[in-house]
Amino acid sequence: MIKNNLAVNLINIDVTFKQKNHVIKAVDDVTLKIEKGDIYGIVGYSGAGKSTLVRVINLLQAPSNGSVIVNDQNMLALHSNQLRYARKKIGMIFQHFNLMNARTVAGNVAFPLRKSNLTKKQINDKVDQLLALVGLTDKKLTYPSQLSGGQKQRVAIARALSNDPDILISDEATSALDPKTTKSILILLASLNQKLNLTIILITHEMQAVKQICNNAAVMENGRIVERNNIVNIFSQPEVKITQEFVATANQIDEAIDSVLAQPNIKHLKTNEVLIKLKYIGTVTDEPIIVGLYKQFEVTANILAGNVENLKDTPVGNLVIILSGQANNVKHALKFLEGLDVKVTILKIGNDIKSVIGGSKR
Amino acid sequence: MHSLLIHLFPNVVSQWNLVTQSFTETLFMVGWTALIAGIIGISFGILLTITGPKGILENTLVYSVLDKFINIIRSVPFIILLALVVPLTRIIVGTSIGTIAAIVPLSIGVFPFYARQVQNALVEVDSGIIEAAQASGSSNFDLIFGVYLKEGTSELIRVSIVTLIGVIDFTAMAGAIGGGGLGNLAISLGYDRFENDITIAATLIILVMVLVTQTIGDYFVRRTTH
Ligand SMILES: Nc1ncnc2c1ncn2[C@@H]1O[C@H](COP(=O)(O)OP(=O)(O)O)[C@@H](O)[C@H]1O
Ligand SMILES: [Mg+2]
Repeated sequence: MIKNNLAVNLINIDVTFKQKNHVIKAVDDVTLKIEKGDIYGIVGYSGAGKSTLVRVINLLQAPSNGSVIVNDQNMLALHSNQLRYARKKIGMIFQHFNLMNARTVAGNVAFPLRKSNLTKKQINDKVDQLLALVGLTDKKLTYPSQLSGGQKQRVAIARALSNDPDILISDEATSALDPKTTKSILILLASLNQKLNLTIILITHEMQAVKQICNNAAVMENGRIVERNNIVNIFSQPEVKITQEFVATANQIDEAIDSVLAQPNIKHLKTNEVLIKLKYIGTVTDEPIIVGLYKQFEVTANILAGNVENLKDTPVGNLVIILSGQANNVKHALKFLEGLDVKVTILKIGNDIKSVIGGSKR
Repeated sequence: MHSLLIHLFPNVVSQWNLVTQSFTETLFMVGWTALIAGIIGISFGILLTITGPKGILENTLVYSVLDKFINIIRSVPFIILLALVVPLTRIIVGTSIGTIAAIVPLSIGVFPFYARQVQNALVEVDSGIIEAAQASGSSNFDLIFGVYLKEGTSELIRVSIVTLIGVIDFTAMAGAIGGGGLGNLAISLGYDRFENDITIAATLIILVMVLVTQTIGDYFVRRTTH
């Protein structure tokens, strides 16, 4: 078999569920390749087929069609013992943590190590080491019912890592947590990715989580992957409507625009003013755009809202500004901005400027 | 005090040996039935759970056979079952009368009830917990003994207590066909010979047995609930 750099290689996967009087196609011809060491997001609304798709990876869900290659191993060819061994190398965490209530934190973390050839002492050391890794050393002998959601998820992460897996599947693992805890769990996952070279598959409907730690992402709808790309492209140039919707949810600038539009001076925009949104990716940010506008075109730019985010070290900026000046100058200024690879969206335009630009712009 | 006892329970006092013997017989029947019906019932309960809907070894055919089997035995009233299994009892024990013989119909009458109780306790175990254990490469053996039974422990204790109290109840009935024990005592002396104080004493002893069982059970339920 040819060795490659793929942790997960799903090819033409179908999963159908036969109900009494109809068939549900939960996963529809999905091919998914995830590189070793990646953090790969899978996004979609509830019912899109995300859980079903990732459960195919460890064969908790057998596909109706397609092939499942994990760590260069054809999962569908494994005998039940081999499959159990393969599953030990694929950790999984869940939305509702799924900890055993009748066992302590240590008991939960040690459970997957049963029947391994480790001694009691080695298991105990391993548990200590894992609890230290997730920052829960002091909770070793506590029962899950006494832990907060975030702590429970840390225990679940420690349990998922007990057999030193290469891959961690996170199925909505932060969806039951508050934003602050979500953030800390995501930070933990990102650090595990670095420390252990763990490939992470992050299923979520929260775009903010994808933005925070993923390198690549796929968007699912009706059992299909409708868009996939690296994070910078997903967020800066979403192509499909559903991706655009998701990106918008993680984009504070749209909310800012709503409140800007409600301001009185914007409601009654002067005839020589235009309200625009600028979006730019990468190095453009470093150039003093605003200063340039005044120097070259005698157009003043008044910043109303803005933010800059780093997506995998690529800055992506949004600015909402009012340009004001002589109509012709404003027109040239807009041309200049577009020449800089800045995406300009006109939100509201004064009459003078409108007449100069004509109907060419919205 | 002693004279008061003689006054209230004249026949009990005069036949004290018979009363203690009946109590021992009842304990004997309850103990053996609990053991035999317990083992068979828990095995069936586990099989029903794992072959049932969404079970780890889901198997519609096996499940429906087991399910119907249990239902049929459960639908036979116990007092009829007592008569019905007489031939079987003869084959197994050699006689159909006496305390040992009573254990056969008692076990047959109790195990389907217990199996259903065990099934109800085990299906309560969160399927997410089972899934997490499967995802971590657990064998079916580990899933049954390490997850189902472990997670279901307090619920299992609870249903076991309910069943044990049922067994005490059934043993009294088995007395009616010559099984011995407190039920037999209440009927042969209390009812047939109008020695009402014997009936009352038998009732009180059974009441105490039920209360003690319930109290011990509750203690362990609390101990195993986390
Ligand atoms: N075991 C199952 N039996 C029948 N239908 C299922 C089963 N699991 C999932 N589905 C259906 O498959 C579709 C995808 O579900 P799921 O993968 O859970 O979506 P998501 O995780 O994106 O919310 C849904 O319509 C769901 O009802
Ligand atoms: Mg899901």
